[in-house]
Amino acid sequence: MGDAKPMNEAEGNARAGKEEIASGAEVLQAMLKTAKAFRMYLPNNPLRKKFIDEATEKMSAHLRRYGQFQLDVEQFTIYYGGTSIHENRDAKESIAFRLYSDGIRSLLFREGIRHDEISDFLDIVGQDRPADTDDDIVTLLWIKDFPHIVYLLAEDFLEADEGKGAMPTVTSQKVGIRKAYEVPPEASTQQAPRNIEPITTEQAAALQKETAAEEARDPLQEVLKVLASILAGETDLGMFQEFLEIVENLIGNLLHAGRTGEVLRLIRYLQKLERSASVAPGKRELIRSDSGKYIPADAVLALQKVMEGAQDFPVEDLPDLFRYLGPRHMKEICELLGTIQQMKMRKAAISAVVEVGKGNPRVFYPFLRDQRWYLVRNIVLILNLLGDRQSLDAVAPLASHPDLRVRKEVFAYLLKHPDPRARTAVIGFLQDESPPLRIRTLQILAAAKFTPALKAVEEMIAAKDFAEKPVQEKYALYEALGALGGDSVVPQLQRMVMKRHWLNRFKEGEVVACAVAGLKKAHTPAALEALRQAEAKRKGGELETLIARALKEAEKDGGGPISSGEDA
Amino acid sequence: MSSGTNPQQQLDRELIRLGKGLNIQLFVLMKTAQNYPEGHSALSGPVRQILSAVRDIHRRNEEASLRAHAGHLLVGEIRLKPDAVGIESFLYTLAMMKRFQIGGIHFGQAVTSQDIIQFAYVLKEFEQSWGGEEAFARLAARMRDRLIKAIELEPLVEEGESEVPEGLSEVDQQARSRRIYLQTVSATAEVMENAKMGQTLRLRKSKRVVQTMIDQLLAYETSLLGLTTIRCHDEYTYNHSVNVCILSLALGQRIGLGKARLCELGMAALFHDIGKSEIPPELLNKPGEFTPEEWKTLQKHPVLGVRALMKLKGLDLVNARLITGSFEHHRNFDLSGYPQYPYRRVSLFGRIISIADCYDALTSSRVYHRTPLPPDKALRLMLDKAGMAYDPILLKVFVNCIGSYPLGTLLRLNTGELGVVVDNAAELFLWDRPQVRIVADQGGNEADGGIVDLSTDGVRTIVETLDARHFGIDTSVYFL
Repeated sequence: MGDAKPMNEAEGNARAGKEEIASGAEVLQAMLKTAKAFRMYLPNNPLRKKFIDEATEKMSAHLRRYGQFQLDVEQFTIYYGGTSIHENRDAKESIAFRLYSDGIRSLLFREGIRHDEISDFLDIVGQDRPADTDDDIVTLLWIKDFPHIVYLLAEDFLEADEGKGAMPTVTSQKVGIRKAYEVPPEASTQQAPRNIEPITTEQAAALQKETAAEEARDPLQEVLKVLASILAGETDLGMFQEFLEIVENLIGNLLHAGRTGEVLRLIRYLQKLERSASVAPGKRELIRSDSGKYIPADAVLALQKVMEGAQDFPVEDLPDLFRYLGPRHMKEICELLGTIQQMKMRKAAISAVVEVGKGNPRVFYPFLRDQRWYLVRNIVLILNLLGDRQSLDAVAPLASHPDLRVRKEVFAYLLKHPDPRARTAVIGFLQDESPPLRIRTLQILAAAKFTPALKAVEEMIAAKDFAEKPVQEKYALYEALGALGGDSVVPQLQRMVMKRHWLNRFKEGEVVACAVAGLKKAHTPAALEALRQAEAKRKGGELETLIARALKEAEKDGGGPISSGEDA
Repeated sequence: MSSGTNPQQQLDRELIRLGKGLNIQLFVLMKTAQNYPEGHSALSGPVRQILSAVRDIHRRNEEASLRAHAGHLLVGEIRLKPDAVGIESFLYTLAMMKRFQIGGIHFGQAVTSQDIIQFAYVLKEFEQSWGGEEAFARLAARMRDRLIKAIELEPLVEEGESEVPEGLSEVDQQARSRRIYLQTVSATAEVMENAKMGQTLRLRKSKRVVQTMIDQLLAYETSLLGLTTIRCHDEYTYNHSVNVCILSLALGQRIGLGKARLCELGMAALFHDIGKSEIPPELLNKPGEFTPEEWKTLQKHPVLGVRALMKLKGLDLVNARLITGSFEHHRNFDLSGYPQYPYRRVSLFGRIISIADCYDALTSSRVYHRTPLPPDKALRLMLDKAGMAYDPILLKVFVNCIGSYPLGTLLRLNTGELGVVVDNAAELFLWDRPQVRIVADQGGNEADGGIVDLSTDGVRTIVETLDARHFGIDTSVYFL
């Protein structure tokens, strides 16, 4: 490294006068400003160049005058000539702290230093880097091998521990030499070959190719191969379980790092081992029972970042991922569902979760009370897809959820549910604040011939606010009335269809249309007869067409009640 | 981060590339001239390449010259560092220039193919002679006779006995190597003790000493390699790990790995046996042979090493290398080694460490083998297994690196003296004539007869190699 040594204050004072120290301080300030500029501006920003030019100029001037520029480093302070010229106690910002943490105790800049050396040096020391990683400051400086910058480390001042017994003591070899002379030279001793065979051009080319490939190789991939090999080959179950834990910890770290490709590789490999008949049963059982056990919850949640950048994450990978994480991490997966905005990703995630959640739908229930409407919606959908019957009591109250999208999902759930209570709960949607949902409810109830809803329908028709309802809803109400009431409502509807409203033609049209809709849906012989009579009465009028069409359609349908199919 | 390439650096790199090419083609031309007469078409290829390189250099306003200085070859003022591809040509040129006392070969702008061919044949004429004081003058005169004007020679400047760059004396560099060696042992011990106790592994100190070791290796390879002859026989120590590190780095440097990769290789080599921290010390230190059960326990250490590293360190780039190094170093090139788990291919680092590990193990009594072999015998044994246990190309480079008489080999000379190999000859084809320290005179008396270069000595030759251990001679003391 170099022959500079950190100085004590007395030495420093003797060596550096005030002017020199002032110059040193100026140089350091210029360097610090430049380091900051590197963090703030992109490489092509002209301001960066301005700062580096200034720092180089000041450094060069100082070196021309004083020959060298040496800085001594303590934890938060930088010294020149024994005098403190910079202090910063903010560990995040302090360049002294950064250098000190990495073990640097002294820096020496020599005459002849180039612009690019200063620039690269500041680029390295200016960034906040953890000390015990691959790209720590000292390693980067060492790799750069700046010809005019020398650094001293704390380790350089430690004496090597000679107590380890590593070095033999130098003793006389007299005895051994004597013994060697007592033995005559052996004729049969094999001689080394005269010439060492040099490597051929082809061999050199192969080596060069391999060395170049080594530069690009990702060592992590090699580690994955090693771990896979151990998992496949290890026969001791105790050791196998240890490595299973190691692999899962690694999966956790990889999830945090967003390296889902490697995560999937490992998971698929484990799944392959678990399925393979040639793998010992004990190992397969361990994989089955322990899958996800050692992966921390926060690692699973870290998937959020990856899933948000969905273009980089193939959705077809989700089932494998969730299948593995699944039973133990359903809570975290549900949390993730609460964050996914993208439609395609959401669909894939839900589909994957459904597959995984089959065995234990109860794990989803707590999320039905979540604040996030889209999570609640997704969970209801999942429960619906799972065909989970047990969750009715948890889902039904969501019929009054503030978000329409959730209520729609709940509606679909209730429609599918075989429990009669679900049907009753559907009736509640007749009071929903959304007209389309009310209309849909009426249509479903009508199609299903769910007669318990008749009373509610009649009440809605008789209610004061009926007149304000949209016309489509009015029709739907009367259709439902007809379908659910059958013959019992035919007289009422017949009266409506026959009545003349002399003073309000518009109202007459609407009333007749509603009645016609009801009679058509009632579809009984009496209802059809009422329609025929209405047609005859209104011959020549504009409502005749409406009635005739309804009658035709009803007769075409062949009469009799329509089968109650549920439209989920 | 800035790319760190300015125009000057780029030019330097270009010149190095052109200089290496020029040197290689000059070598090829010389070899071709050995086998073909002047004017043969076989010469046209290398001549064309030389002309092209010379012109490219001139186009960059630089001097198209090859110079020898302090054991280095330079193009202009820039030092050429040999790699696996060019090592032979590099050594050949240096040897040739030394023999003829040539300090520099300058190719002028007006150089023609005819000049180059004639130059090659002038050198061929002088090839058989061993140089001497008049060599340069005669060579220069012959070139004048042949009217070779566009190629100029400059005489070799007298160099000191110890050709040590950067002003460090031989004693200083040995002291520095010793210090680095001890620091590395100390750093290794610290990590291994932490591993034994199941504590988090902190590798910063080790990384620093490996970096220092690489710097030392690049500058003074022999002084560090010589320390690998140290054998501690009483108990398991960390010397073996450090030796494997040094040997691996020497090999890695020779095949052209960059500094960053060398650092990773050094770390992986240093901790290749970290799994042994979980093997009972009484087993590691057991005198005598191991039982099959004991072997089985010992053979677990690669996997135990992986476990320790994963649990105690987590995963980053350096640790990834350590993990593969621990797992692979006994796998063998043909995957016949252990652990016998399904695995496709041993990585480059794994193959390098495997060679270094085995060589040090064979020459030591404390690492698996109860009877250590002399270095040259160890190499022969390994060469017999090239392609099976060891990567054949890497093994060849390794042998080229440490010589057919590796450092520390005890020799009996024709004069009756005993010598210890302390360095190889500069010329590759003279590596059966190493530099030796005379340790005993012809009367059998211990002596410090200084270092003799057998490639130039003219009197001494090697009669046989001796098993130093057999006689109780510790050759490592000659490197301290």
